[in-house]
Amino acid sequence: MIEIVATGAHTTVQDLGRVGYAAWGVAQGGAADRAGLQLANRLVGNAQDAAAFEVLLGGLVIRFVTAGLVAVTGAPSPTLVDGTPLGRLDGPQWMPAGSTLTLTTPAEQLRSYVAVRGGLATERVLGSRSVDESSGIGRAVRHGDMIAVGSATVGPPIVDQAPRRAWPAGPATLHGTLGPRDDWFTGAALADLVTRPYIVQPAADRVGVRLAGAPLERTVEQELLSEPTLRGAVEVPADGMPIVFAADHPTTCGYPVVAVLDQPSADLVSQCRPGQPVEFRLRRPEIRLTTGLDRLVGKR
Amino acid sequence: MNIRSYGTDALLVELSTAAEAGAVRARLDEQPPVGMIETMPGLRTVLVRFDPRAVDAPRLARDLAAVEIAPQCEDGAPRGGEPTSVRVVYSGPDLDDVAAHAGLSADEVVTAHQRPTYRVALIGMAPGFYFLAGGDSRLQPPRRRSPRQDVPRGAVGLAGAFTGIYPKRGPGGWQLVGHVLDELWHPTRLPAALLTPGAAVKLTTA
Repeated sequence: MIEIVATGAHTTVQDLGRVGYAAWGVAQGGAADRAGLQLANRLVGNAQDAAAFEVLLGGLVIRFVTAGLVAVTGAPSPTLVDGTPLGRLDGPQWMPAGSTLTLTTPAEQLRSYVAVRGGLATERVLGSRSVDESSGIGRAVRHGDMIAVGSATVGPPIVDQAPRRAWPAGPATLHGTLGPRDDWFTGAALADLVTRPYIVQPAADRVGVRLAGAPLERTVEQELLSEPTLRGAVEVPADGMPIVFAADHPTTCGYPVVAVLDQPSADLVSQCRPGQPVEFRLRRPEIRLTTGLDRLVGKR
Repeated sequence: MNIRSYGTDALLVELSTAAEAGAVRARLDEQPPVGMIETMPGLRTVLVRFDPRAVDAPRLARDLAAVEIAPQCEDGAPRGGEPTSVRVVYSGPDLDDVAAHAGLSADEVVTAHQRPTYRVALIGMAPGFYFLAGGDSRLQPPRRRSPRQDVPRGAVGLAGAFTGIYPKRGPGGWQLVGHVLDELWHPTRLPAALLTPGAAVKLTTA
């Protein structure tokens, strides 16, 4: 059992989200940095989709009513056990009964993941424990919340310390695929997209990461009929400023999507602070075809 | 149909009508091709998510191209049954802009907006966000240039050929003409949506 002593700026329970409810308008959701959550789970011997705490900008203080194993990944929050600095992250840490874990504010990145061996056993809604405030599913943790620990283990923890990649000194590189609506934009816009830096704006959250930079000019003026969309999609509203969809994205979007980020880059952008420059590296799409043309040719 | 890569793990299938898109999506859900994870509906499109370890994009694209397009209903026709009445207060901040775009007075916009019987075309963009099709062809303003970050719950908006109803407070780019009085979306109960895709809807002045 885990007791919430202090909540930090914003802490929610997340797993890898819920698949199959798009027709209701409910997005997959789940951890904003999926690799961060999965690593924390692996380090304590959990199933990779076990539920853990997602902590925005530190401040979470939890008490282990019963003893347990914990790992902290993602944003490097200096962490204390009963007031003693831990000295390292990205590894399993034994917490005796009654002990307290404190995450202070990280100097870089945004979100830390705190996995407890067994996983957090909160109520599942539509198949997942992920909190999705934009859908009205669940809520952020509050002071005094008591959260049960489950049994979502897959084996003993076998890694003592995972390596940590250094945060980029300059712009963060976001890899992805052009399209599906890259043909709605001018050649100059597409060139700008991959050559000029874009800056993460303060209005970034779990729904989307807003960017500012060279406005992306469209060639097509008509409205786009709303299309389904995914985490990592880069939509461009009429003002030309791209927005990268995050975990709690809307399931459909009426603005053209110029590119879709790879999963690791969608994870990376969710850790970028306001002011962080990003640069896009986009490959051509693998599939772009129209069916039915072969039948027309056959008739001639 | 058009089939385009949507990142590395999904393909976007584009059809000619909403009915075709619905039929293709239903067929894929009944008989999923190898490697398919789920389908997601759009107004004329279907997004097919797949596991790249189970199937490669060209193979899946071939499987999708082979799906028979057999729409069961006329595009735009509501299903049978009495239309559900939804009460609207027409006091939205963009009502005058919509009137100017249509070349009508605000009162004429309200009258024109209430005349048709709408069909629920889609629940998307947000949980419980209703897309209503079948509106007056004069009332088709573009989206706002930059979306609002804070549209109130129950707001009624127009964008292109659709009327939308916002289920909760949140961001939105549609032109707001009013708000509904009835609660159409309950996130914690199933079915959460009072209106289902295909249902007929009449909008009335509160």
